[in-house]
Amino acid sequence: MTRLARWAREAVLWTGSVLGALCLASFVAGWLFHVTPLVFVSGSMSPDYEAGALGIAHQVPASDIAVGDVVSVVNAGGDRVTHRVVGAAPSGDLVGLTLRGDTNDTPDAETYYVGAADRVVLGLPYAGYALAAATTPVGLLAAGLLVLAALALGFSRRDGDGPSRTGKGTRVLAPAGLASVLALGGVLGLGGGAPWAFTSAVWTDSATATATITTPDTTPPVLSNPLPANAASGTAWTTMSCSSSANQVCVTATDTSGSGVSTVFVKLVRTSGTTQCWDGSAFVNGTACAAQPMTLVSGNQYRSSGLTSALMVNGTYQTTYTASDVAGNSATPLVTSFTVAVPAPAKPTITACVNTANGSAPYRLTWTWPGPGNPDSFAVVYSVNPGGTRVTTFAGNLRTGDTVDINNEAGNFKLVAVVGGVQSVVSNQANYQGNGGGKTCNVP
Amino acid sequence: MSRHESRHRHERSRWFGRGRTRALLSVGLLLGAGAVATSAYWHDEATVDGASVQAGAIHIDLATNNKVKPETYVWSDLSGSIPATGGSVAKVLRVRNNSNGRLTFGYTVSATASGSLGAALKVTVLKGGSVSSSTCTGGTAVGTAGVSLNGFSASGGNLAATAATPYHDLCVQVTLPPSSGVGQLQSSNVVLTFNATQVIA
Repeated sequence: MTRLARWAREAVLWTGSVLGALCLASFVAGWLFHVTPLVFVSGSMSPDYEAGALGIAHQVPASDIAVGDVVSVVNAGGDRVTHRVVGAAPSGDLVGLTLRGDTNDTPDAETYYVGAADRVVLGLPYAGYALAAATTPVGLLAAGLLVLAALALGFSRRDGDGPSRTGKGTRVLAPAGLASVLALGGVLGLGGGAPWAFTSAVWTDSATATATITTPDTTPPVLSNPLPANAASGTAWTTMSCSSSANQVCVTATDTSGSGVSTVFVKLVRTSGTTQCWDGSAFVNGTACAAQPMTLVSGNQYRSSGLTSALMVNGTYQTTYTASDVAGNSATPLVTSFTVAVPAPAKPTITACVNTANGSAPYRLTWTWPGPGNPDSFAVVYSVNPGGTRVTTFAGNLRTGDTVDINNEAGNFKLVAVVGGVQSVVSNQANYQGNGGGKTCNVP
Repeated sequence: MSRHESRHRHERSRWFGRGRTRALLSVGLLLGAGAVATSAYWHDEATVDGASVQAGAIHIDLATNNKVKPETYVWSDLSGSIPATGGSVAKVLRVRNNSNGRLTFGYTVSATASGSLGAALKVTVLKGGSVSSSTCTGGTAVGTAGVSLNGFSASGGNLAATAATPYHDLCVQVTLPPSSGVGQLQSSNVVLTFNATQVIA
């Protein structure tokens, strides 16, 4: 045998024997000391255990496992997972382990309930690659060939050997023994007794998508309870108007379970006589006025602003209430009409007048009024205009007053009372006579 | 040297020198090979499992995101209103494997929704589906269609980074059934969580 051949023979024998011894040692260590070599086939435990590292794990009771340990367990899918313990909670005889890969953002979804687990105590970088390669079909074939070569070289006849003692029994027993060993290994593998394991220190990642779903407000507000009520008629605006807000019109606007009432408007049109609409400060001819905003009184009641009894003269009015909610839903407009029919007030009675020396001086009248209370005002009517032209006006609570200069004319002066814009019939008269230097007056 | 010592050395040389012990030790390799062969290739329990070593980094991304970690995607497209009387919204979300390396992951889709509205919402997830009006059509259902959104959980399948189309387009339809009893102006925060776990080849 040449030197090269001897070296090759020795290499095959030593390689086979060392690997075989390691296999046997792995079996023995696993059975006796519960030690399992683990090949990390992925890298979520990086940098402590990179993909391809060989970890040495020792089985320990679950009660000995603490947060921070790196343990290897079998998940519900039957895969071996090796991650770090981030939580351990007893559960009966077992312990529920929460694991997370060092490079993973979130813990494993599964909680592993174990009575014992393989705790990794040592890691050898890159060593797992060799073991991984050995488990490939090519690796297994190579291992088989290596064994056969080692046996052939170890038991072959060499120069100087004596006569062959290999009998028929040996030739049969040798292959049978090898097959038995192989089969024994297969049985061990099937039974889960193989001396090492591949562990998927799997990576995990997660992503979340967030959205907001809402149910919008699709119900418009509802208008009700207008004041004055629809078709109402009254003899005094102050009593017809909204009781909570003197001289104003009111309406109730509700938006049950909705976004809430946002705006309420009213459009007021006097339809009797010359059609006029309210522009917020006065009645103007036509109907082109904008609807006027209403304000919240209390609860759900809204009121107008700026109306007075003087503005609300006798006549028929039409109100159109509108409203919308925060979501923009518009209420069905509420249209009402009402009539103001204030009766003519009682007439005043002139009781005295004062003579004047100068025609430019004011004339002074004194009068009474039977009530009730006070009218809105009194007005002087000059007889030159028998129709009742008002030449001056006194406040309703006065019973005496001076007229203004009426062009220095003599004549008859009368009074009327005015309530709600309605004028009483004229009173008796005060007669002024003379001109220039002096006038006299009397009340017939 | 005594005759006895000479004979002992001769015996030792005969065994170690000839290699018979080493040859027999190598049979241990056959034992290991047998165990690996059965456990790795014929056995479906994975206490021992043949596998190739994989390197890289896993990334599951939504829509047009690329390797965002941690990733919270504000899905404004899906956000919207459903009348309290019932209706639905539907949009498509792309789930992509942007992992480094030849990684495959399996992922689950789970969902939560807050409030009384969330308790009433139903969800349908169709892989490869498309939006028609406010509903999803076509594709294959991920999990059960029309089940409660809150607590929904289903497997989306596997996605390989090396696939020609390393993504799934998921059509997500959120439905509020008629007569759900949910009033208007309710709001629910919907969270869809996609958990990816590496699949070992």
